[in-house]
Amino acid sequence: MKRLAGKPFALVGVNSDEDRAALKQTMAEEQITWRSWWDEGNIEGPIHTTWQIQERPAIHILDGKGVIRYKNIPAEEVDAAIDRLLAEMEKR
Amino acid sequence: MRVVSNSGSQAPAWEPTVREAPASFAPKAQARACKTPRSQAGAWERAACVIVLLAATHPAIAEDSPSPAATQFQTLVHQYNQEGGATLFAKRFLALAEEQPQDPAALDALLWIVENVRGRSETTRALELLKSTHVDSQRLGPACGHVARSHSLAAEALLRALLEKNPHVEVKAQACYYLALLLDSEATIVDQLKAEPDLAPRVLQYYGRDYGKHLASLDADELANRRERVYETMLKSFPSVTVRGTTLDKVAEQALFGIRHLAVGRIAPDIQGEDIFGKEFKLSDYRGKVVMLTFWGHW
Repeated sequence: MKRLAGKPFALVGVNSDEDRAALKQTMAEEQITWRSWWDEGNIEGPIHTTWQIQERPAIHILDGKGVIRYKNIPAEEVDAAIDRLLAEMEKR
Repeated sequence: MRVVSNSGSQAPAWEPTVREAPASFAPKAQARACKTPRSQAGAWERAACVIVLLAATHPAIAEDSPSPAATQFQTLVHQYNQEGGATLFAKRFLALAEEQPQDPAALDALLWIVENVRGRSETTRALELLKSTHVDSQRLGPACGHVARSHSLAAEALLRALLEKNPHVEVKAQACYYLALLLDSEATIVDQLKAEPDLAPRVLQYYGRDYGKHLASLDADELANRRERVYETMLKSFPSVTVRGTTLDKVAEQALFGIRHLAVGRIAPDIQGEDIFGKEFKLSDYRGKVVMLTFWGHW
């Protein structure tokens, strides 16, 4: 994601780990820098429920207007999708 | 007992799962129970007990002896259980239903086809006959799940006819629920075809030429509108009916939220809450940026 530095892009997460303290440690160890909401340690937490998440990991991509553009996108297609949406923004 | 087959081909991994009907609505068990030869002979008390239990939905059993068509139906079921080959037997069950349309066994024969054979011309014909001749029947409620999974263009028409014309509220509710699931599964296929156009030949192969072409021709937005209307009907007309352990108001509300707020093209619902370190932030803080939102964890 370093290549996107300086672009209008953000990676945010919703985490469903049970142990918040252990999660902090893992994030430090694995250098996970994206910001995440912590969903009460549960796939049935309120955010997962609202978003009707049935499988994890699940990746959605939103455009600059907050519109959902890709849902449950496979990891290998993420880069191309982000580039497409960034190019769309630059055109305007 | 045989499972629904599609000429022996297996469901591809990407086939959406239309959920099974609940056990309490299991049509096969019910149909078999009343039609076994056991019920025509032997202890009168036992037969009487069966009649009391089943006469309401199965008038044929109240007869002293089964009609020729009913006997024919039993013979076909027996032969099929011995020999297998549902697609071949579909023709024979259909012939029985068409030769003696007034006999209650005709309904048994048509339901047998819908329960056992998907995506064939006999399936479509059976669905059409159910719509034209048996739309009032209470027995169609338990069959709605099979109808929704029948891979036929006639399925939606039958479910809509039941929803509109069947006099029994529980049948209407079943029809509404499975009509919604049918349209949901079509929407899943449309999404998959959009994402992977290469799947088109496999869709034709798996769903049959007619229904496969229909699937390929569907417009995602128009389909979303139709799904929304069906779930609105569900919420308005059958909120307190329970299907598969959930009341339909819950089912409909969740589906409507998904259609209106979680579909591609919709504004994402905002997320507000604490991050891992206890600091508040919200999704809408990121307007003006492309956002990759990932639901993750260590499992």
